[in-house]
Amino acid sequence: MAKKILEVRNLRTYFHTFKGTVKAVDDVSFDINEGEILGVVGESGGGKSVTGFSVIRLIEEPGKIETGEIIYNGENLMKKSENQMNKVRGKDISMIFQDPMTSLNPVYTIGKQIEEVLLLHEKDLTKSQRKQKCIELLKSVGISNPESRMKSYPHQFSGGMRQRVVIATALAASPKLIIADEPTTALDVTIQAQILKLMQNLVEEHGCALMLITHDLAVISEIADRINVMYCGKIIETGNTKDIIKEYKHPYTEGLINSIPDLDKDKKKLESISGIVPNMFDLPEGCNFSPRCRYCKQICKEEEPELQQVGQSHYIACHFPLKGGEK
Amino acid sequence: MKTEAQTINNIGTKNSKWKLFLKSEFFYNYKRSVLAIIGSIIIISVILIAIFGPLFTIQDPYNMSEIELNNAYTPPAWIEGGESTFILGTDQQGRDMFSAIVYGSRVSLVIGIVSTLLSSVLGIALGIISGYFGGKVDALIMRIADVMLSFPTMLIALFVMSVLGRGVVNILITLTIVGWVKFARTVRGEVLSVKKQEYIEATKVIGLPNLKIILKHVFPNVLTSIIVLVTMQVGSNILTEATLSFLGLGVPITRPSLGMLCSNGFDVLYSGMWWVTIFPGLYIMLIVFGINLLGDFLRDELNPKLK
Amino acid sequence: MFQYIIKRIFQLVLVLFLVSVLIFAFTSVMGNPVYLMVREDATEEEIKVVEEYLGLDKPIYVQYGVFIRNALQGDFGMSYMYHQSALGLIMERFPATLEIVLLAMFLAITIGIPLGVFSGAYSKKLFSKIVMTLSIAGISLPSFWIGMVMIILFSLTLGVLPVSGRGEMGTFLGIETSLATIDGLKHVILPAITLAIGNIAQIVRLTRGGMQESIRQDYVKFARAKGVPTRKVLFGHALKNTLIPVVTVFGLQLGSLIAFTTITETIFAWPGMGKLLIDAINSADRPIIAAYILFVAVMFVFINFVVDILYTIIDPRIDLNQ
Repeated sequence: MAKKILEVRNLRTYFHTFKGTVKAVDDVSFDINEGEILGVVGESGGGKSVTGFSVIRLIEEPGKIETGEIIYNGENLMKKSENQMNKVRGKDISMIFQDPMTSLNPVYTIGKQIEEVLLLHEKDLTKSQRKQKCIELLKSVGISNPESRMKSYPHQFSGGMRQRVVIATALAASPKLIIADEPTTALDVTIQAQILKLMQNLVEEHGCALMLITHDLAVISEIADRINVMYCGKIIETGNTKDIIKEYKHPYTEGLINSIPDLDKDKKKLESISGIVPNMFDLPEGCNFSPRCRYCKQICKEEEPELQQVGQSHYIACHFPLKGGEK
Repeated sequence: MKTEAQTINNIGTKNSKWKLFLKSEFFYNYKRSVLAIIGSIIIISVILIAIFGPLFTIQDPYNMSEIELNNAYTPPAWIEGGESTFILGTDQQGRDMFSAIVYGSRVSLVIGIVSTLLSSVLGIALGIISGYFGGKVDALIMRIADVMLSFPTMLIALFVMSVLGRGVVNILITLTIVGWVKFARTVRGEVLSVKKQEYIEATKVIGLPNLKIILKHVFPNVLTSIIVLVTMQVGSNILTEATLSFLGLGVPITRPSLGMLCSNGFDVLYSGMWWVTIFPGLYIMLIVFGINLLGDFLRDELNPKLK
Repeated sequence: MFQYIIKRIFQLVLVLFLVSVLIFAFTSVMGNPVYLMVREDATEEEIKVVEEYLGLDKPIYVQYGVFIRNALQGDFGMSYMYHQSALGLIMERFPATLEIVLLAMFLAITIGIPLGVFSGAYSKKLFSKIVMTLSIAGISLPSFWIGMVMIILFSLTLGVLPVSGRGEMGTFLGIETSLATIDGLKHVILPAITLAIGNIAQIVRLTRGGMQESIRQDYVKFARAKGVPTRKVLFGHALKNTLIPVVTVFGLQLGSLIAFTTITETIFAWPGMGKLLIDAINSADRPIIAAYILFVAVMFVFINFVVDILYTIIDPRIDLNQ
């Protein structure tokens, strides 16, 4: 069995606002193996991003990690001080954000922003070594003329280019895990595929694991090894990519898969999941998905389903799991 | 469910608006903001004291016949030599400081509030004119605004007062002249942005667009900014008036404002009569502090940029 | 850049023209200086002589023309009170004012910015609330009152600092200043603090507001995700992005302080230009008032120019030619 690089146990991250408490992440547990690509999917507001930010403990007021263990390489990150966390962030675990237009600081050059990571985490490098490394990093993410581009400011780059710079920054200190929060959502469709391919190649090259957060199941099915499906702050189905795509057992996963446009089949119309994500302040009784579920029975409205094993590494939280691929 | 629907039906529209306000995020935050509540309490107390205070003072400080010179130089009651009649002591003419402060606060408050109303009305009017007509009118008004902004408020006020001479009306004129710019800029900006919108463009068949329609859209949008500006302006106008009066270019000596009282105290500061200047100044600070506490809260709450 | 400088100069000329008209108009309607200069029992003949001497007998537009022609040569006429060149008097007093202003601005930056940064970054903490409350108190205080409290506290009660005057002067780098001697510093400290308090409060509030906005930005969060220590995130990443409004206000404050130290100088009998101004106003000394206002106008245009240049250094996205 592959070595686990990250184990998250019973993570609960709540937001306390004036309207009440939002359980953005509610009792979530999952693992990531070394060198693995884990996809996290779900509609927006499902707690995917908050899970990602919780892992490196970047949750800000009014949010708070209530309980849980985040074990990285055998160490519980929840027990670390803010200073110790700063040695983990960027060094062991780094992040890629959704919007490349805003994730780079407008008043510093590209070179300076990449170099900052090296200055913090690779202290024995000399100035010229750092420069060399920056150039290599920029080259590896496909930026031509890296030497001159290093002196440019973010506003002189396009969105796709900026996201490449962000990726280079995330890779700079050779982390063991990268958390990418919707890294392609804000980009042009034509660029999305390029960036994904680039990320896939780079994590492979560096032997680093990737937690890819997205609302796009189609994207994830292409490159992920395993998939977590999240709904209303909970993991409702998890398994290998093949299990999820071909043998999905949760009605919500079914809905997500059916809403992927399929060019091969000549479908008349795109299916969608009826209804909307429930109000996070006022979740339904029983199963959170019950109001939108077409298989909903009485028990679903009363009792919340537990996560149960249905395959070798395939778990699902549903009272009435579908039979593989059933429609 | 049924009963709830009934209750909602039973409440009149006016009442439900009030209820809506009580349930709003604004009111929720207000209740939780200690500073905003303190600010409100200060403002309400200060206004009540200004209105009803004279019922409790021992003398009318403007009426020279009520003042006796042999009471002069009495320190505050809790200090040796103080008398319980004169809680905050007396000045060099024997005037009771407490009475003087109560009456002085009336002058300060009236000037602060009236001048703010005048400058907001002038500013809003000039802002509408500037934004609506555009072109040369706009350029002229905005250039004047630029010139105004490139000088410290106090310097302009000092200059205008030195031309007009002291007096309450002249202070009001001066504060109006220095205070309209912020209002004009805010309103002008909004008029311009509303003018650009399509439905206004559509109504503009010939000539200028419909002023009525523009104003209907402008006011709801600038209302919150104006509320904040007005609140803050009252405070800063009280300070400006106090400073002018301190320099001897403010209200007439016969009806001293709080700033005037401070100025009066400065003359006897070195003879150790600190109370003549400290208490009126402290009261100015309290008033402006209360206003700014509330104004700050309003700005944080009503400024969507920070939300 | 060249285009920008041309634009600025054009602006300067326009502002100065508007200001000069306003000043001329205002000073013309201000109290007639003739009566301040002649004896109380002066004859009509004598008054006429003085009027002619001052050029007040000519039509108003001629007076304005003469006023502009002379002003362009730095000649605003002789002060009625001092019988010296008005501009010369201002320049003579300028260093004393600059001294307290620079010290006050130094205090405002070194105290105001760190307080603003921390209270903006941790706006929910008790510390931030205390700073915020104090800063509101700071802008609510009349400056003359601060000065008087200082005098009562440090001079009359504790007796540690002198109350008025400029103190002993020393020479530092060839400049005569009271900042160079102990006695001079003792004299300058109270006026400088009096001037500084309101400005500290304003800089705190401004920095705080900017920080509250900028720490929400993705690039600040991204910097944290890179493992940048908190202090560096705040001062390196967040603060630099909030400096534009701070620099603007700083420039305006610097100008305002130089232009209006009247209160502080009155209270501490500081021999600067603020004291000169109020004396001039009280005796309707038109040449000084006119020279003073135009001096301030030129200074503000210059400060704005420097502030604009600073913008381009702080934020690479700003292009002055746009």
